[in-house]
Order: sequence, then structure tokens, then C-alpha cells
Amino acid sequence: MIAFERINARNLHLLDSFESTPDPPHWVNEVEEIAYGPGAAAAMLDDEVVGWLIYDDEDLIGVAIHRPESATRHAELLHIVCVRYAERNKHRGRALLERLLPHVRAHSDFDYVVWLVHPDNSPMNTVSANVTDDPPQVDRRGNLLYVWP
Amino acid sequence: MARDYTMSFRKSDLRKPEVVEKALEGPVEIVVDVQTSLVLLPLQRHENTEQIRRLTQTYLATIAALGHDDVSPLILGDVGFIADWPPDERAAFAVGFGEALAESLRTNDPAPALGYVRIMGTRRPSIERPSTPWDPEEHNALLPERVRAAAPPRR
Repeated sequence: MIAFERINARNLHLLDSFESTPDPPHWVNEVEEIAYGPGAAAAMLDDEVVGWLIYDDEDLIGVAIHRPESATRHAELLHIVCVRYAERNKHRGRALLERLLPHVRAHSDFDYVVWLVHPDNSPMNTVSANVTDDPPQVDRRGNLLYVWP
Repeated sequence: MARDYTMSFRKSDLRKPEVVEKALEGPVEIVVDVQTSLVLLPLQRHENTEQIRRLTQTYLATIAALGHDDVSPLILGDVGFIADWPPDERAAFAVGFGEALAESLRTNDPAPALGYVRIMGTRRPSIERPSTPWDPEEHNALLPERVRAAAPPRR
């Protein structure tokens, strides 16, 4: 059962137990570096940045960070979803996203959640396509933009 | 003051296996004479206590610095990175540090306070992902009309 616990001062240190991906592609390295450091710090200091520890039953499996989309401010930007290295490839990505998206929306001021996925991130692109109705839009860098609901 | 020892032994009991077994469960008192006692406890527990004591000193330095505009990072030690933070963020940091330290004290585990300090020290102005940055102009134009026309925030 996927569950979430808001990042706070008492549990922030649990991110120190997250192992980094060995020899990661640069876009994975970026996500892990931000998720386990400055992203979590921002969730502590910036009222608009919200961070969640992700659990599967008792196991801490990842972290998610979201904030309002800038400019039009009509959607919540799911900024990072990072499943820890040892917990990947367990075929629960769709279940995770199906639980996470309504959770993010419920903890934002907006009706829509949007997120960007690197084109090489096949697992996230697959599950994202499975939980959204609109086909993803492709930006000039080749990243895919998803919208829910 | 209440003393929290698992058991009390005499100095002559030190060779008994029971003394070590009990000491691994919690501190035991070794009575040397009427005026002097020793404490036997796991080294890790002692080191944890010492580390939390040092973190408490750092926390107190953080609190003391809150009322000053110009604080040397040297005085703040391991949290010197907050010296140039805005006052409101310094205050928020101190509140969180206190919560993390309380958790460390409760569990006699320095990890909550150490982790808090380490992670907060990574703070930077932007958390944008270099490979997948959100470009408001470009990405908002790509959003479906229903999103771009969405009502203002619900709350």
C-alpha cells in the first residue's frame, strides 16, 4: 500500500539513507542530487514547495516534491518523483503515480497536476502515459509534458 | 536527580560475564567505594551522547545568532552556512533544528539532527532540474486549453 509522509525536520534525515544510482545518466543524477538535498531543503523553507516521503507499506521507497507551476499559476508542478535505486523495477510505478497525483492535487491550490519527463526515462514515460488521457506534448529539448487529470 | 542504570555492581564483579551483558542493555553502575562510581555502557551509546551534546552546542549558537544581523560563520560552526541567509529563513532553520535535535535527544541517535544540518546545508536559490527545466513561456503554451483557462487557485 503506497502512503506518504510530509517531509519535516524530524524525518528529513531519512533521505540520508537513500543510495545513489551507480553510474547514473546525467538526468538521474540531477534528480537524485536535488531530491536528497536542495529540493528537500526547499520543502523545509519555502511555503510553496511541498515534499513527501513515499512508503510502500513500511518500506521507504522514494521522495516526491511539488510546487505551483510558475507564470500562469494554474497548475501544480510535480517537480520530482524519485524512487530510490534499490526499489526500482518492481512494477509498482503505475500504482504509485495513481496514488500520488490525487495526493498532490489535494495538497495544492490547483485542479491540475503537470510534470516533465526526460525522453530517456522510459519507465516514467510509460506509467505517465498510462495514467493520463492526453497524449504528452514534447518540448524543444525533447522532454515530455504530462497533465492530470 | 534520578539515575538510570540497569544494575549496580561492585568493582570486584567486573570479571563476571553478567556485568557486560547488562551493560550492553543499558548503563550499569560500578561502585568503587563509598564516594566513587564508574559507568559501564556501550561505546556507541557514549559516542551518540557526545555527538548530540556537540549538536546541542551548535543549536544554542544558532539561537544566540538569531538576534544579530552580522554573525560570523565561524561562531556558527557546522551551520555557518546560515550566516548569510535572510533572517526569516534563519529563524525557520532554527525551529527545524530544534525539532530535529529533540528527536535526536529522544532517541539518543544523532542522525535526525545531523541529517537535518547536512541537508539544509545543501540549500540553493533554485531547485530547477537542468535537463528538464520548467520554462513557463514554452510549457504553458503546450498545456491543454482546459488547464490554461483554469480558474484561479481553489484556495
